[in-house]
Amino acid sequence: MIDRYLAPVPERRQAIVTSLTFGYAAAWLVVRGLYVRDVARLPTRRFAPVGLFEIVGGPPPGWVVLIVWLLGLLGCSFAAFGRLTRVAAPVGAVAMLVIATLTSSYGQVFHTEHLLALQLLVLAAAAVIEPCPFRTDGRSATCSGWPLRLSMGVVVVVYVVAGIAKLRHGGVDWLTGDVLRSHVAADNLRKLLVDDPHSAVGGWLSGTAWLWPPIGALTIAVELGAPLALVPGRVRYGWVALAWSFHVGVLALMWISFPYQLSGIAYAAFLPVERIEASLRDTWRSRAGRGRLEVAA
Amino acid sequence: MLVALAYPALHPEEIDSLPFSNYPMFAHDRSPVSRFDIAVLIGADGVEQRLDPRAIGRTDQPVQAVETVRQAIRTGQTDALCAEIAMQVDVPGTIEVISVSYDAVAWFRGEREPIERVVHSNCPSVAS
Repeated sequence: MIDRYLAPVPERRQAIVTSLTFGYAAAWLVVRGLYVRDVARLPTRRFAPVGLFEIVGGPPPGWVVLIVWLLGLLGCSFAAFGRLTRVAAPVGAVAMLVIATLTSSYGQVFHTEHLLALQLLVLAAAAVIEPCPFRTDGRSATCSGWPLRLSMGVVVVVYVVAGIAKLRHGGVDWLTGDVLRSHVAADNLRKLLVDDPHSAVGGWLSGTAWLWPPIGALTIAVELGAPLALVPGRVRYGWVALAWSFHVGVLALMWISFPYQLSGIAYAAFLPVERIEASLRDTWRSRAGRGRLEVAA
Repeated sequence: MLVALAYPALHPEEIDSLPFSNYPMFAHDRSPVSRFDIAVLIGADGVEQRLDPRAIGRTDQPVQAVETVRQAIRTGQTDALCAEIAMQVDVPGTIEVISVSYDAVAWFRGEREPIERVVHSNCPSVAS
């Protein structure tokens, strides 16, 4: 079993997953930069620390947040381009964890960045323990498979834990009753009451009682069925497609976006991304070649 | 690492943190009637107007805005929150920090009257 866990994966696959994951984190830090600034300016009385801030105790000063944000942006950007990865990846991963934890330390834990933070930590650990450097010369090479398999394991455990929570707290009603329907209606109404965009579809469909037990059952099936993603081949790809569709459904019915999952990058470790990349390159080359021929003619 | 991630699922108490969580969002049983802790503006004409997340919670996150009000109610600081919100609103009127209860499913069917409405604090907006 250990041998299978450590079995090599194509080097290009790990390089692409690392690049996509850290690239996403860098983009997140830029896009959510103003939000991070707003959070850093919130009154101290609203501070309700979680994670590492429970140890620190108080909120960090604004200038510390700015430095951590900058380090995160630099670390993630360098790691995304495969430069100075041994230093950049851990710096980027830890800074992203700090920033994500800070934004969740004001009364509301956001669950949209958990998977990103965890996968960054795995890839950063791999960069330090067993670096698998970028090679752009296209030659075939492999590296140890544990970082990507651990990334997959993280995804599987996170989904299963979320599924268990629903059965533990909501019970069988989550599958058969109105729990999900009430949540969808209440969440959309909450957004409406604070003048924020909501899902009109979700609000409208909450009036259709028979619809929700099957949606609830499908949700639990996707979450508890996550270990199927460890079975190579079509079963794995089927689960990935279902999990992605589940997040599309959440967006459509509740206007809650899990952008990391919706981008597909959260599931990149499950996919033969190096083959997808090669196929895209071939398509690009053949189109460019055809274009040149047409111009020459 | 995987054992640590799975631990919140087995723990008798709720663990909702980062990076470890049992992901309790939308997991709990929920009655059809929900209470919403929000802030609104009562205009000079007496009409209730909604305030956006930034006015209430100083960020663009609606859940953070609602949690800000909930936190203020829990800690008895609704007057301070009301004064903070009043500074953000440049329309004449009165800010009210309220808890309002609706049957959310019925609301989307058109039954818009609140089941209960409690005013915790009120204060004039900065433009008043």
